[in-house]
Amino acid sequence: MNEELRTKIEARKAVLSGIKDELVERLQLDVDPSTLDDDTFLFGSGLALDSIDAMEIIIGMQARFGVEIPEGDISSMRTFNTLADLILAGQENTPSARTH
Amino acid sequence: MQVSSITADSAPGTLEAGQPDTSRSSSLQQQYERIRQGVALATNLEPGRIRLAGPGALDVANRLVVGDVSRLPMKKLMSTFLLREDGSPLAEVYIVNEGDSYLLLTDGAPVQQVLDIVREVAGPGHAEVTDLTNERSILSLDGPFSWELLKDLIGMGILGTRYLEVMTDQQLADAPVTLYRAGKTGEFGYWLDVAADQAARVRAALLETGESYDLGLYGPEALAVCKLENRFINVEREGSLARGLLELNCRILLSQDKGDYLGRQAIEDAIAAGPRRRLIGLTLEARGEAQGLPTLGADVFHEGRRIGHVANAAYSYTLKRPIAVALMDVDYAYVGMDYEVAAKDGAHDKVRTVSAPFILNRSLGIRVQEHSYFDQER
Repeated sequence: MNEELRTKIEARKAVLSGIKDELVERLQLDVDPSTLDDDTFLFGSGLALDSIDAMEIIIGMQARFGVEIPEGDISSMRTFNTLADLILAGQENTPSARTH
Repeated sequence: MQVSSITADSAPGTLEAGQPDTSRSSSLQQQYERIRQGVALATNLEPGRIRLAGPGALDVANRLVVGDVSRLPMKKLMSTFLLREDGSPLAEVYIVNEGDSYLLLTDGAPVQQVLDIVREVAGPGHAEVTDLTNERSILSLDGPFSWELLKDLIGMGILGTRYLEVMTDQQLADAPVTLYRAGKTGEFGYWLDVAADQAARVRAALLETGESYDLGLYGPEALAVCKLENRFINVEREGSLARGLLELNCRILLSQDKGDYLGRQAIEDAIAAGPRRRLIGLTLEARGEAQGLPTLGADVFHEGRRIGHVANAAYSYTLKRPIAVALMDVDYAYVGMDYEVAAKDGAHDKVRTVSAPFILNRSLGIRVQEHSYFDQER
């Protein structure tokens, strides 16, 4: 694996880990964040979150990553990976955004 | 408007004699578009139907599937899997809590094979096992406006039915029907469970009312495309190539705190060792429907190193490009990376790893109280 790919993958892993930690803590989910697959569905047959949880996701992503999920943006809140897509796109536009 | 039929080679046994217009045939794309844009009725969905009854039914159900059936409320379904002892998925299962019994709706494996396993697990006297496969029929109605067609036939109650809920004691064309809010297209989906000898009548009523909705019929290939776009696991494709459920990103479906179940030891061994491969979505360059579709098993490369292989592929009519899933080395199985896949002609095509699902379903933007098939400007 070349350095460029390694760096890109590490950046994504860090964001995914941050999202999982944030949601597990904020939503008080009884699950170890490290066991959650990146493509786990947040609603429906996955984590089975509801519309109130969706508000918490929006608040959590703003608080932790400084990224605003536009109202009605269903596509970004489907899985951890889709949230990571949004956050990483936001970080590309705002280099100073936090990733911890 | 007329009901579209589909070609005999893609879906045998379509409309019964006397139904509206069986002369027009529809392509895979047309079938797909009825599912994604309107309403479509499956032509040959025939899941296995096995009922477990008696005091041991819950225990047997729990020993069969990976999910915790004891947490399944009455009149609800659970989407889960029946595994082989090696931890690989044998069948997709909806399990229904009927109150005093459990109904298994199985897909992806021969019914007799599943039935043999169910009977072996049930053993003598633990639970009564009944094969209802030939006594009942399932009619699957899917699409962003499937709820509206059903509302016309059974009333407003359908609007309040949530995903994975059951509506019992319904009447459709004077036949008793149980509705499951289910389906694997990513759109609104309803499975109508009806006695086999009344299925033709219910089906005729759906087709007749469906005329004004431009109801189309769809076959297994259109369903396979939709499943892939929404990343529902297809046990006959990616499921058959995976060494275990963990490789398929389904860990959330595993119950860690229930008793033993088929394949549990293999799953626990895999958890302890950590998966070596993981399923990830790929999009390919748009080269038309016929070109650029990778073959199953085609290698995925990074800088000449083989890092995985294609486990399922289809042309996405929504994205207008081929899509695929690949079982990849976990070190490389991350979204947003550019790799290459071996094409049929030996060349390497560029692919990008992407988040699943591949598409945003139209149903996600539909509000049943506000929208209508007949007023799509809203």
